[in-house]
This record gives sequence, C-alpha cells and structure tokens, in this order.
Amino acid sequence: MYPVWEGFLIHSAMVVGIIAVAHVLFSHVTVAATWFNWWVERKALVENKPYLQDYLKASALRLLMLAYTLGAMFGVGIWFSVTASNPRSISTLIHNFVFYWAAEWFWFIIDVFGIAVYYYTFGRVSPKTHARIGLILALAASGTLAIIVGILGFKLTPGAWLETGLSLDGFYNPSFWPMLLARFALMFALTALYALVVAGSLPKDHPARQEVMPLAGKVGLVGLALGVALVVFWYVPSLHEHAKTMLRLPQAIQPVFYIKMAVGVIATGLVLLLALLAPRRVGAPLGYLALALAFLGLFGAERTREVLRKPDVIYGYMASNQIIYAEKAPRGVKAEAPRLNEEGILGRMPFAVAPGAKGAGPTAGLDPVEAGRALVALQCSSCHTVSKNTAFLGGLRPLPALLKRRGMTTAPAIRAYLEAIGGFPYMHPTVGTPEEREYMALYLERMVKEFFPELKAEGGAQ
Amino acid sequence: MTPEALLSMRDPLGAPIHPLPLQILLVVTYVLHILFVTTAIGGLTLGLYGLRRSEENWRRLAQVSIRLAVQSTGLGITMGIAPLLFVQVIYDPAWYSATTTMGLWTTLFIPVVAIGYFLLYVLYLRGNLAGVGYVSLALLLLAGWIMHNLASYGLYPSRWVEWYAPGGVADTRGLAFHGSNLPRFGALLFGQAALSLGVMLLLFAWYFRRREDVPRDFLAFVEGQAKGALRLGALLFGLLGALWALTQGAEVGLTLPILLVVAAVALVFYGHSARARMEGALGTLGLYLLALLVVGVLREGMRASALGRLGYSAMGYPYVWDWGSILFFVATGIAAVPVIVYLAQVLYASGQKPQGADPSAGVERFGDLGVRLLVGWFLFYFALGLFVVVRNL
Repeated sequence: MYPVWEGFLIHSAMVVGIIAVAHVLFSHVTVAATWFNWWVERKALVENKPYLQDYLKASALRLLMLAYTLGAMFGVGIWFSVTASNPRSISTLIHNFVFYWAAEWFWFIIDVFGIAVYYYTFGRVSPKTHARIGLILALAASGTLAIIVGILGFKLTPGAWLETGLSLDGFYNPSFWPMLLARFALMFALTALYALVVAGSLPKDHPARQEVMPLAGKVGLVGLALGVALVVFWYVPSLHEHAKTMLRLPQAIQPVFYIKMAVGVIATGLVLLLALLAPRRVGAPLGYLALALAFLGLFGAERTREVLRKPDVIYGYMASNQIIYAEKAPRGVKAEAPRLNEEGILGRMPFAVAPGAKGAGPTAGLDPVEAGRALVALQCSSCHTVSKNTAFLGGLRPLPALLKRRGMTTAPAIRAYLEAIGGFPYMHPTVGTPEEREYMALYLERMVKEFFPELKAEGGAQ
Repeated sequence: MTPEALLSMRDPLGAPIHPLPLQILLVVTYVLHILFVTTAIGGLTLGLYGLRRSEENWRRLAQVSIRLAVQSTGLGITMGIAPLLFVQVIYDPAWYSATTTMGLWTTLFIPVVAIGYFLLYVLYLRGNLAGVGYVSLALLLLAGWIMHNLASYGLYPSRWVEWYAPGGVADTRGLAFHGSNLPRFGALLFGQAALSLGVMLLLFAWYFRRREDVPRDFLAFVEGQAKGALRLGALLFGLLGALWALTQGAEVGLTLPILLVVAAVALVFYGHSARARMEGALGTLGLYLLALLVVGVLREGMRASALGRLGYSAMGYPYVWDWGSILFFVATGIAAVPVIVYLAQVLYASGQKPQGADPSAGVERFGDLGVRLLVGWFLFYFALGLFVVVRNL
C-alpha cells in the first residue's frame, strides 16, 4: 500500500472525474471529427466544392490546438491523477495492459504528428495525398478508441480474466463490444456539435457553413440515436447483476446523475435537430452551449459507470480502497483482507504510520487517534472526505456529515457502525484487527466534532 | 523503508514479460522524450531572446525557434507516455510512492503542461506576444521541475516514510517537493536544452540548404547559432553535471561514473561545436542520440543502485509471459511504424519547395500500403476479439 493523497481542497476522486470527463469530451470529438473531416474532404474533391476547404482548415487548426493537444494530454492527466489518488488500481491496469497502452502510444504518435502534417500540408501536397493523410488520421484515432475501450470496460466487467489472468480475456471483456460500438456512435453526436462551433465561426453567407451545418445535424442525430439505443438495449443488459443492482440503488446513484444524462442527450438532440432543419438559426454560441450541456451529460454518465463497480475499483478483484479482496484471484494473487484482519494493517503496511510507530514497526506506543487517522485515510478516503483537507464545497460523500446524519457521533456508536459496513452492496467490510477498528472509531469521533463543533459542547449528540 | 516492505509493494500480478525488454524500452523511449522536451525548452528560450532583437536574422530565427518549440512540445508529451508506462511496470514502488507523496504536484503536472502548451501556441500564432511566451516557459519549467522531483524521489527509499509522515504524522495533502537536486535539474534540462537546440538548428539549416528562397546568410547565421548553442550546452552540462556528481552522485555512491559520463559528453560536444556544419547535421544528431542514450543508462544505473541497496532489482521483477499482450503490441507496431515513416516522408517532401511538393510515386505507394496496414490492424483486432469471445463461451 502506498501513501495516501486525499486531495487538496478538492477530493482526489473528484479531480480524477473532472479530468476524465474533459478527456472523454475532447478525445471523442477528436476521433469522430477525423472521420467527419475525411468525409467533407472527399465531398470537396468528388463534388468539386473547394470552398469546403475553409471549413476543413478551421476545423484542423482547432483540432491541432485543442482537441488533439488537450484530448491526448488530459488522457495522460487521468493517469497522473489516478497514480496520485489510487495508485494500486492503475498499477493493476498497467501490469495487465502495459503493451495495449504501448500499442495505443503508436496511434498517439500518428495522431499528434499526423494532425500537424495534415494542417501544414493544406495546399502543399496533392488533394489525393492530403485526403489519404485524413484517412490515416481517422483510422489511427479510431485505433486509440478501440484500445482504451478494452481497458475501461475491464474495470467494471473483467469477465474471464478473474479466472485466467490473461490480458486478452480482460481486454475483450463482457461489456467490450457494446461499449465500443456505443462510444463510436455517440462520439459522432459530440463531433457534430464541434462541427457546428467550427462552421458557426465562418461568415454567415459562407457556402461551407450552409453545407456543413445540416450535414453535422444529420450525422450527429444518427450517432446520438444509435448510441443511446446501444447503451440502453445492449450495454446495460451486458452488465453483471451487481451493476444492475447498483443502477437501481438511489444511495449509490442519485437521481441527479440520470437528470444530467437526460439533459445532455436532450440538449444535444435538440440543437442537432435545429441544425438539420434550420441551419441558419444555429451559430457558434449555441454549439458551445450544447457542448457544455453534453459535458454535463457525460459527467453524469461517466460517474454512473464509475459507481456501478462499487465497492470495487476493479470489480471482483480490488476494492476502491486498493485492498485486494478477491478470494480467488488470477496469477496466484492472494486476497489481502483476511491477512490484514489477522495481522493488522499498522504492522504490515509501510506507510500506515502514526506517532510512536516507526515505519512497519509494532503498534505499541501509538497515539490511538492518529493511528485511527492513518487507518481511515487508507480505507475510507478513496470515496469519502475524511478530513478538512478535501472539505471544499462540502467535499465528496463527507463522512462527518454522513455519521452525524445517522446519529453516530461517539466512538462506541461509530465502532458498531464500522462492524456493520459489510451489509451494504456498495461497501466492503472494514479491514483490520478489532484494536485497529477501535482506533478508527476514535479518529472518526474526533473528525465529526471537528466538523461540527456544536457536538463538542453537547458532549456528543445522539 | 525496509527491504521487505519495498519488495512487498511490487504489484502482485507481476510484469507481462521479462523485465529486460521493459528496461530497454524505458531507456530508449526516454531518449526520444527528452530529446523533444529539451528541444522545446531550448527553442522557446531562443525564440524569446530573438524577439527582443531587432536584426532581421534574429526575428526570423525567433519565429523558427518558436515553431520548433511548439512541435517539440507536442511530440515531447506524446513520447513521454511510453517511458511513463514502462517505469510503472518495473519501478512501481518508487514511482507510486513519489506520485502519492507529491500528489498535488503530480495531479497539477498535466494542467501545467497543457496551459503552457496552449500559451505557446498563442505565441506561435500571434508571433510577438513575448509576455505569453514567458508565462509558457515558466509553466513548462515548472512541469520539468515536477517531473524531476518525481524521478529523483526514487533514489531515496530510506527517506520515503519520513517525507510522507514527518514525525509519524501523515501529510495527505501532497504539497511538498522531495528529492530534488538542482544541479541534476540544471544539467538534464538546461544543459541538454542548449545541446538539443544546437542539433535541431543544424538540422534546420541542413534541410533548407537546397531551398533557393531561403537566404544563404540566414542559414549561415543559423549554423553559427547552432554551434554557439552546442558550446553553451557542453559547458552547462559539464559544470552542472559535475555538481550533480558531487552532490546526488555522492549520495548514491556513483560520483565517479557520473563525472565520467558528463565529462565525456561535455568534451565531445565542446570539441564538436567548432567543427559542426549543416552538411553533417545527421551525424551530429546521431552523436547526440548516442549521448542521450548514455545519460539515460546512467539515470537508470543510479536508480538501480539506490534501490539495489534495499535488495530491489528491476531485473528480478516477477513476471509471466502474457503472449496475448505481446502479440497485440507487436502487431500494432508493424501497422503503425510504416505509417509514421510515411507521414514524415510527406512532410519532408512538402517542404522541399516554397509552394510545396508531392512525395515521389514510391512514397505514395508506401502510403497506400500504410492505409492497408491500418485496415489490416482493425481486421486483426476484431478477429482476435472474436477468437477470445468464442473461446470463453
């Protein structure tokens, strides 16, 4: 187990979420935009419409500056934020899929180098050569999607990997095909919004603007309808029973998640419909607004997907708090929870330290409350705000508020609650020796009183 | 940190291949990464300096340098993904302890780079907004500083617990930097930035030497600046490198090897700076890549030595042969590398004439082959997927 980074002001999981959704938005726009632009470029060639080049140049410059740069970078940003917040989960992915990511790296090089070549060779090479570069970009960009989908899906539905430990089994997992196709379809809706922004930046009477707007509307609506249908009728049914249970649990997935998704889909659909039927009424600002709402929808969707595998970060293998719970894990990996229950966490984990303890030394002489803080940080901070470090704007599922709401503000009451935690479908039982659970309860009592000083005066509210 | 604790932090799944290929890939891809990163820093610095000069050649060189910085930053970021992958496989205890202990900075790294890169683009497109360029440079240097700390942290395993929890009280905010060594940062960033810049300027002059619209005196000017950059780089690398050897090198017990490497690199390039010519730019590039490779091996040697004292050996990392993932990687490489070569050929050909130019018919056929390889990759990808699905039915 590694040191814990709770976050600073903002909870680490929230940081990961924001970066991840930004990446999804930029990268999805990028992938489908390469196909859209390739199609427009062919149209310009075949139908002899050179004015479409103006759209392509404007689109390519923005892709070069924003989508590729930020899309690729925020992708790496997810890595960085997860290595800080949940290193053992990314380590599991890396040790399974390092060569898949390395393969994706080849596509990244083509993407980043290729978009520069594409942009700088406008008018400097023959149209046929330029269109070929566009096609290469589209294929390579789709390659990045094709690879990352396998790794993303693995976390929720590792499938046969849990038995075999073979990376191919984890990559082509049970939700792989529906997720691949659904994302491929939905990204055309996002790209269509991006096309509206780009076309909307051209002069009002520019023929490219008049031609691209309805085309984007048409392509985007087909992608949106197909994508939503694939999610509802194939992706969700492909999930395991646990995920389906979580979908129905309002404590796990609050209704606001569904509202966000619905707003994103409806707003995207309406704007694309308007672009199809009345393209003159659509401009760049409306495109930006729709993209912002789509971002909201994506945030809801991605957060939902994350919560579906709770209490695990890799379903059936590793809990969100990075402890391996799987009784029967591949490649000879042993479950850690039973051993930690028996031998204790403080004595085994090098960074589970507290005053009085030297590294992995014995627990004697510990400050019990500080020891509890170390244990709570290890076991609870992946999903909850457990100190004022990450309490900005209320924090993420703040434990102090949760405990107060349930009337558990004293150590004995909290201790009893810790013992009962395994009863929820979205939580694993607390790990550690009985003594360590006592330490945790002592810290949690202090934490609740730090957040709610009035409880100190009352001597502990019930 | 006890040896047992350090070893227990390795991922229980093990690596998917023998660690040696991973170690080699780590060093080789690091070389590509650092080449572009240092070129970006060097190019931007020279560009900002050039913007302050009024002479025509300087103004022109400033634009070239800034454009070089823009493209190098993009490629540097992309190339950096690979060593980032491989380091996590065989040095996971050091890397993840660093990224969590300095969590805030780890997380800020990409936003810092992204904003720096974006501002660099603004500078490039607007041409003369030097203020934006300085902010961009500051952000890129901050990113370099973060990465320097994350890498250097791994050399001090005996201090990790104390850095995370001073006096036993864990600091879970990740605000502080740990493990830094200014001479190392200076040698590997500023010294190499000047060297990389010198090499790239020579390549620029070499490429445009046959273009009639590019003035001869400008190319001679660029060549002169390249020689100056090589000389400056050699001096900076040598002096700061010596300090690095005497400080961090002494801490990990590798003073002499570091001194020998930095002295060799500094002397070779100081000597070469006087003889360097645009016609021999490719040779200079080859020489420089070799030097970067040696420095890359030295960095790995330091890591291996520091962790080795606690019984940690990357070569002893447990592994299983995961043939599926190896097949996937090799197949993708076979499809992708020719395409990358094709794109480079198109770019090379298009810049040969002022109005642009098509690549040769042979290159065009190679491009068609590239497209077929990409389509073939997708067929392979789907076929492999169907095979796995059927096998698991």
